[in-house]
Amino acid sequence: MNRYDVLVIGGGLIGCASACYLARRGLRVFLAEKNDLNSLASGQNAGSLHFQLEHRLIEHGDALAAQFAQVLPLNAYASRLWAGLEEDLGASLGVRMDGGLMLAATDEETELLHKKQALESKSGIDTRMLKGAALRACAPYLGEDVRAASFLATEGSANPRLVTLAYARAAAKAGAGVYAGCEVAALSRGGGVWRADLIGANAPAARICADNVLNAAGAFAGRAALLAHLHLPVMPVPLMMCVTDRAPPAIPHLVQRAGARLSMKQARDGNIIIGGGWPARFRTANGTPDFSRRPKLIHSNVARNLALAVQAAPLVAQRRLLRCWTGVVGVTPDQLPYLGAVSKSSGFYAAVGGSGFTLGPAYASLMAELIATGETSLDISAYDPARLSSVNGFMEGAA
Amino acid sequence: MTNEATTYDAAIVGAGPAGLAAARELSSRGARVVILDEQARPGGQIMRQRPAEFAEDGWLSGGLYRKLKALLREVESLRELDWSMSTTVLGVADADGDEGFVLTAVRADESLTFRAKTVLCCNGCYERPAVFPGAVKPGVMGAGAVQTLLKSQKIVAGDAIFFAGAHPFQLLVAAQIAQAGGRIAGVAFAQSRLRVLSILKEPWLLVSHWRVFATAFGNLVRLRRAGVPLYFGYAMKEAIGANRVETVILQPVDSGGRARTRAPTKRVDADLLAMSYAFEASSELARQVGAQSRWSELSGGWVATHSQLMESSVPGLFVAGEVTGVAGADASLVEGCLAGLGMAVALGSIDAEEAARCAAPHRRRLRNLLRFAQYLARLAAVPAQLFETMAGASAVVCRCEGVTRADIAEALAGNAQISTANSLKLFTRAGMGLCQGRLCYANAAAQMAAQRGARVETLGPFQAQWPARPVSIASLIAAGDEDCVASRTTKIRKPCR
Amino acid sequence: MRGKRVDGASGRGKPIEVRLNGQPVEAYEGETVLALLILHGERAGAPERGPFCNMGVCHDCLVTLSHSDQAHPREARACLTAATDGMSVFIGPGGRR
Repeated sequence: MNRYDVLVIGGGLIGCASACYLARRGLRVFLAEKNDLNSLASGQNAGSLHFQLEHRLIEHGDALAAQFAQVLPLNAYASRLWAGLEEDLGASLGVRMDGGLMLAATDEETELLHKKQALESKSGIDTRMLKGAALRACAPYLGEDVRAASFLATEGSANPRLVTLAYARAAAKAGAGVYAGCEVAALSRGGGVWRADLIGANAPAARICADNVLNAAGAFAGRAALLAHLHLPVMPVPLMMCVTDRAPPAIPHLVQRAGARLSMKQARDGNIIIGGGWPARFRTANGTPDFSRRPKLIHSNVARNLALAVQAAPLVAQRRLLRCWTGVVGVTPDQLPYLGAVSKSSGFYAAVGGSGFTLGPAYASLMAELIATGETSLDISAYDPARLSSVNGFMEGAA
Repeated sequence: MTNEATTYDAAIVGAGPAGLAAARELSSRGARVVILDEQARPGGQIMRQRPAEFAEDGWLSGGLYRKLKALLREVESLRELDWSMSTTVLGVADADGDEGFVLTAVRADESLTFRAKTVLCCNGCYERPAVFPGAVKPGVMGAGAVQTLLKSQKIVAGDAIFFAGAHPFQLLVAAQIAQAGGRIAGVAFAQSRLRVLSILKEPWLLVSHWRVFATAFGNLVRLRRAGVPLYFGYAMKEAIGANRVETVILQPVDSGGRARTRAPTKRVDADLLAMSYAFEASSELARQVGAQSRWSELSGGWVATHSQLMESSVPGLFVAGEVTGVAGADASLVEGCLAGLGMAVALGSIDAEEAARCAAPHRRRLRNLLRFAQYLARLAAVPAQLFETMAGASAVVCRCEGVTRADIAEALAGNAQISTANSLKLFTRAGMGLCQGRLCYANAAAQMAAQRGARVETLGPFQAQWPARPVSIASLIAAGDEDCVASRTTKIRKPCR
Repeated sequence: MRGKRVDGASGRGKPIEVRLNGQPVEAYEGETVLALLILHGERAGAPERGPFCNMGVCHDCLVTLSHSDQAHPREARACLTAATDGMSVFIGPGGRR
């Protein structure tokens, strides 16, 4: 039988987690991933679990920072999910929540941290400012340039290599059909249901039907939305990451920088993973960006990223760089996620947006709740794709 | 020091026969060439030179090496060549917007950058370790490692050396060790005696490659006369010993490489086990730039594809030698000549017509050599089930990360969606260590192919990433833009340059 | 001593002073650190593995080197490093024993 309640497009973290939560609610779920599961940003990101306001959200002045502070209740929700996730999925996911530090190395950065902390405390995020001896006692590995840091006990990291597949296994166990190597080539709507034409080596049928579609296609969600004649502006952004050889345990925290692009943590295996949002470069073909190829690494950015890491933790200078990789994340124009129905009349939903690793389980859990019950236990109206209605008003009814 | 000011006409990565031949060709046409190699002196693995401080007495004597040595000495004497030896190339990338390529490298912890209009990747091959219990123990090495220690360092690396493998190469190394006064504890071939001797059935090969065969049979006879036990139809079962290899245990195998359980195993005492089962093409540098590769079961796994004049799928990036398929030093030399011509065309020094004319004799010779190499590869081919038979259930596949066959089997069984070698790597860590997956890829992929009932070529290679070798972070930062690195302010993201 | 130098000391560079895990060992100019490790039966870098390739691929011969004229010890692949007069070699990365 090829009739489902929900077709999930995209086999990344959000797609697989959504399939899991939807199937657990008793819905019939079909997940289609055209490549391998976890093959793009979900498996390539740095694995940070960051619940403080990030550098990218506080760097544009107070007004915007206050607007982004809306994301904080979502952070708290995600933090609770992560804390129980290994037990829930019955798998080791490398979850480590031993606290996170956002560092300041200048007066401006220290000031930024104080403002940030004020915003966070309003939302019940319990960051503490650390300085001097208390800071050194908490993080003896820090370099001498570091003047202050805000500490949040629930931050940490998890292993992006493991999480998506654990969700996929749980989804399959709960009865979802999870298909990698299966691409949705076309969507059409008739008789109140979506018809999806499938291609690919592992497509189990040429066509399936579903009452609802959940677009979880990450950086390429815009394309998936166009299959349903809807616009979902998601900009692909090419980023790079670095990892060192195995080091003796030294950095138990997630380390970020308030005024510069740095994220750093040490995995259980000892490797130190360094990132923070340094860009790579899209390759071009015939003058247009070629999204099918891995973005090109920019070596000067590697050096800058590593220099920041060494400044934060001088022991990094003694390590060897083992590999770098590039990946593509999807960024929305207003940096807030799309979470909800893009088209209420037709059951086309989206779960796409920034901090997709940290917040991915939360997005998925909330979307499953929304699709299954029509409402959510946490207010997500700020992320409603209805804010695109100025565009999609034109598109409505085309499917 | 960086060489950013200079844009070379050609950068050649690998100073073996292919690189040397290409350098000679390009130099003769006035091209500005730099050769980079990780070793201190040129020659490649086939001609691993003695250190300059050693006397050269008797180095690589014998007819097999005569032509190669002449090439080496000729190119070493060329004045207009630039050499960057003891240099680890980390990556090759197209120079955005600009013509040509940028090579990143490191020499004695100093970062280097080279610019070149064309690049030749001829960085050879490496030995594929077999997986069996005890295979990672100290005292187990590649036969090539044992040979280069002798050739270059004049060291016999053990007191009792046992050879096990499927490649005739091990006969050569064993004979060289014996000649140097080392004790050979035995040589085991996985193939039957009949198969090893079946060379005789191909008279045209005997005629055209008599020197190779004469050497091989000479080696065999010499070892026999020295009383070295030869085992045919035996493969490794286990290497045992407290802290290092003390005893090797051999198991009898049939022509398909399956264990003959009713025949007895053999135990031989040895303190060094040299294995020689297969070679892997070192195509990762070419693949890092985006060069296409194809799967070649018999000649080195993922090998770079190329045009008649050795240009890869990336314009301006050339490939030659074992990178295009493991076929031996003579074929590498000829491919280097062809690549030199191809690069001269790309540089505009000669036109395509002249290049084709010059290439014709090389191409004829290459066809002949490749035919021989293919024959040899079929002869040396590891019997289908052999790796599987040796590996058992729980031997270590990924040396660096300690990932076992059992770990891989469990990951595959529990995750039906893992469908590429890359996803297997991400899930199990096999291939994520310091050798960057070079030594475990073939074994991990073969296991995955068997368990999934798929062909290895459908699983893809491990992604080739930068840096091509692990590199000191201190040296990378030192090379970074001073202004950026020194910046201690929030303005660190200002465009530098 | 395991294995041997072919022709003993003849045809090699001049004798140099090298320490292996603190102990002085026989060594000659031009010899690689890996050659010394092998001759002295040391297992080199990784705790339970031996060097495999002698060509820079396996990284199982990592050693930590210090020298009287260098401020900091550095890690290197023994197979690609020539021993020099006054060098101290420690087994494994970070001088791990």
